Amino acid sequence: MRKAERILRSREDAVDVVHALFVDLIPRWSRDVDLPYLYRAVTNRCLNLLRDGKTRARLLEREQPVPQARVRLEDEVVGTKLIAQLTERLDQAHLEVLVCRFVDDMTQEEIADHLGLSRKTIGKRLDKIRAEVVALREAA
Amino acid sequence: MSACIGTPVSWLRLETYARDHGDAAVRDHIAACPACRGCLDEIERDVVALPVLVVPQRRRRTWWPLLLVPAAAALLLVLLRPRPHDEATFAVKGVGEVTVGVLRERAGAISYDAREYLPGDRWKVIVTCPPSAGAWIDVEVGRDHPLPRAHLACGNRVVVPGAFTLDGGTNRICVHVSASEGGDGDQGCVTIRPE
Repeated sequence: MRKAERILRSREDAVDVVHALFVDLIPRWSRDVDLPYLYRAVTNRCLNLLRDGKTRARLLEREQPVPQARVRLEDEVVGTKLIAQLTERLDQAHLEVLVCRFVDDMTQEEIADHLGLSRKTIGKRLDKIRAEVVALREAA
Repeated sequence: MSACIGTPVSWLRLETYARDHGDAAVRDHIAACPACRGCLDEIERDVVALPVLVVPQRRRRTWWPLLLVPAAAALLLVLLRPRPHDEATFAVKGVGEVTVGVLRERAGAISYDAREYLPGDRWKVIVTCPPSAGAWIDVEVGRDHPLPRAHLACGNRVVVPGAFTLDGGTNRICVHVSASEGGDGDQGCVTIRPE
């Protein structure tokens, strides 16, 4: 739930995401459902929320506290607003890498292990993410 | 928040570490790194108790609506059961497909699907055959021929001239249809029972 809250900056929405996830998991609960799995599932659900126009507008209306940032993206703190903007420019695969790197503070090796991809792929995706952020800045 | 002294320990690793404090690398890192120590403190401080999901209690099931299912099925069977043939259909060479039936007149009321009689009921024979053809009709009830043999111009529900009454138990009205007078043809029968 902390992870959902880091992405959404809203405890109520984080609770909803986790509740919905657990309800869906109840019928197929097994030992395979571990913390990394829950992390991925929560990421995807939060990204889906941010893709939805109405939910995104509601979340962005709130006054968001500045997240604690240990890793920055092009000197930007990756918060709900930036992720929401990038949902329109990047696909799910890139967004997942974005969250892993700049919200969960994972290293490239950790992300590669977490998502089952090569480090090279993660590097390429991060390059594209950075390029999109630059383009976003220029557009603004 | 102060900056991390090196590569930050990811939240996932910190969450895992918070559960068992088993990862020595994380332990060494947070001992020296106030930023990551702060994150771990946040995890350990933030004991989350999700609100209990309220599962609506299942309503007691009332059993009697279950009876409606077989009742409805029985009703459907009654409504949709194949009805006894009100009319007889057969093919006659030179005429085409012929359907014969009867109608009952009781106290001025005409019924096309009546198959029961009372003394005094009047019965007539009706024939349906292709409009371009003509047909010879001979009506037989038991061994009697209550109506004179007649030639009809075919059409839809053409009434054979004349009427007759029935008595003496179950009657079988057979209508012989042929293309020529006295020629070979075929017949259809309708059974009428006393009421």
